[in-house]
Amino acid sequence: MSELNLTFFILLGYAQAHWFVITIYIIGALGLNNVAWTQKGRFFQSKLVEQTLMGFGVMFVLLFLTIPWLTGSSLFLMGYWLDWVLLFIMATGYSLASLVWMYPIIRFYHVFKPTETK
Amino acid sequence: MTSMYKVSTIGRRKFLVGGATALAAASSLNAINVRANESSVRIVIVGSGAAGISLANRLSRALKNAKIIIVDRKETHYYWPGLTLVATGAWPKSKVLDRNSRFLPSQVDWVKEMVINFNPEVNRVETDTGRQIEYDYLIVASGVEYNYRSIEGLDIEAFGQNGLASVYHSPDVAALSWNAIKQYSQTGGDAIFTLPSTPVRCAGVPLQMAFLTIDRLKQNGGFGQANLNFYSANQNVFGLPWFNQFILDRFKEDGMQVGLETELSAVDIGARKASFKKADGQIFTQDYDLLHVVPPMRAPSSVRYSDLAWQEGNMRGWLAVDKDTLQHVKYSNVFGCGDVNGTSRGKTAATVKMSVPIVVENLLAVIANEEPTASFNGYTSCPLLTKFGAAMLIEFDYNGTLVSTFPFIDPYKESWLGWVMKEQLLKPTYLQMLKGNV
Ligand SMILES: Cc1cc2nc3c(=O)[nH]c(=O)nc-3n(C[C@H](O)[C@H](O)[C@H](O)COP(=O)(O)OP(=O)(O)OC[C@H]3O[C@@H](n4cnc5c(N)ncnc54)[C@H](O)[C@@H]3O)c2cc1C
Repeated sequence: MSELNLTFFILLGYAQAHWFVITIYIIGALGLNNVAWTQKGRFFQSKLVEQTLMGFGVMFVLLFLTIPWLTGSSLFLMGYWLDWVLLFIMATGYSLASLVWMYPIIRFYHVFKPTETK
Repeated sequence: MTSMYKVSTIGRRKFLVGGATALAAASSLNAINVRANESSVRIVIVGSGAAGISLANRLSRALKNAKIIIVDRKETHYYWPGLTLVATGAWPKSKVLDRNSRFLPSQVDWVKEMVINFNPEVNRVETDTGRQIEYDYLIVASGVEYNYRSIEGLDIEAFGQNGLASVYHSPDVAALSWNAIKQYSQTGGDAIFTLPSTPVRCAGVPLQMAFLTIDRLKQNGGFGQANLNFYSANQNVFGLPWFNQFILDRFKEDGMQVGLETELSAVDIGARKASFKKADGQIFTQDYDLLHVVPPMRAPSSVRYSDLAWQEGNMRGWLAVDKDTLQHVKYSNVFGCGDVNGTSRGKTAATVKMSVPIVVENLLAVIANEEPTASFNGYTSCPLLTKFGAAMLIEFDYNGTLVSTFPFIDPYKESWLGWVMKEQLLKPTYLQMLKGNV
């Protein structure tokens, strides 16, 4: 129980320390999705969802390879199995979080991309 | 089937008895809280560091009618655990500085003066302006005093130049120390790391400074020309045997010579020479290009020369508290918390985190005329950074028994997880501790 309490407050503290980034993320996500919602056509389209999932995959691989380096460490220092678990969780979490920006951006691209001339 | 039934009934009975005991304990604790909460006592906390602020937050929540006074002139809050990263160039100094006013609850009175005298016989402290502050209950949380002066020839103003470094003094000196370490990591030469015979804050720090300097030497090209020495005034470099051996082995791999029972006694800053005294009294002098000084530490003089200090034994001068209840051994209305305590282990923020709730619970009991029953196990912890990007999470109690907060983390393993904890998560946790949440 006390471990859960501690984990909660560690995460809360971490979020408070990064409040600026989190605020930008939320405002960006709300703004992008709001605008995307008002564009013509259905909001969810299977082709766009597919492309977003591919984007998720690319993001996951990128993050998996770079997070240790971004935290001042290196993939070569990951000697403990829990390191890999943590890295997997972090890469998955951040990739999932990126979806709320990625989907509306991909949708914009399709709405505004120049129509091909035959 | 029968045996299974037996097991399950015993289990259920045990569960019920256990539950009833827990309920009884909780309700008696609640009664203590209610009685304590009703009283309008006057509590003085000396020191607004990690322990003082955390106590102020918890007590002001628990005792709505109490008058809580915190005494300390210092307005800037130092996040001490970050200094290791400042002194090795990983963090800017600004990351370890904050304002105490941000963390102190508004209903706490803050007297911006220093205590110079404790008069526990008459329940009073005297500050350096001559003000007398009376109390019903006192908590001493005034940390440690660095005794750089006991090292002959050492001048605090000289840190950062002439290869002189020390992570401990302050954020300013830690940042200056990085200048000295950076320069050394490019050129190599003779380096000396020291560990005094007194208790030190976070015993892993002197070792971390050695490990991280080695890493910087490897990154910046000076490693090939480096001649490394670690002098410990004790019979080991770390208190737990397995980790002591691990560190010695790692030092050996990197060519670090280790001298035990050898204490830094004098420095000639201009000539870059350090003198050491061995246990048999022999003195020798050695040249250096980098000297990392860990100062001898003691309780602040106001405690040391007061009736509150242990008068004899190896903890002489430190606050005389019972190691389990953290209540003063002579004055039952006085408690101690943090580095100032004269207990066998634990001068870390992790110790503060675990002991603040014990002090609060026992103080509430005493206010409610009960016996203090909450017992502290001496928990201490220091993430041992072995290089940039890897650390070991070592947590142990008074007996040196490993006690992991998260049992699935193996303390014997160097890990990136440990590094993430220290570099990314320790500061947010520390700030939550100040607010009295963890
Ligand atoms: C370089 C370094 C690295 C560390 N790394 C870690 C780590 O990784 N993990 C960890 O858990 N711990 C670490 N620590 C230890 C940790 O920072 C301390 O144990 C913790 O800060 C102790 O808190 P405290 O409140 O007892 O003392 P402090 O935080 O020092 O507070 C004491 C306060 O008392 C005040 N005071 C002193 N005398 C008087 C007086 N006469 N009157 C009024 N006020 C007075 C001082 O001004 C100060 O504000 C580290 C420490 C250092 C120096």
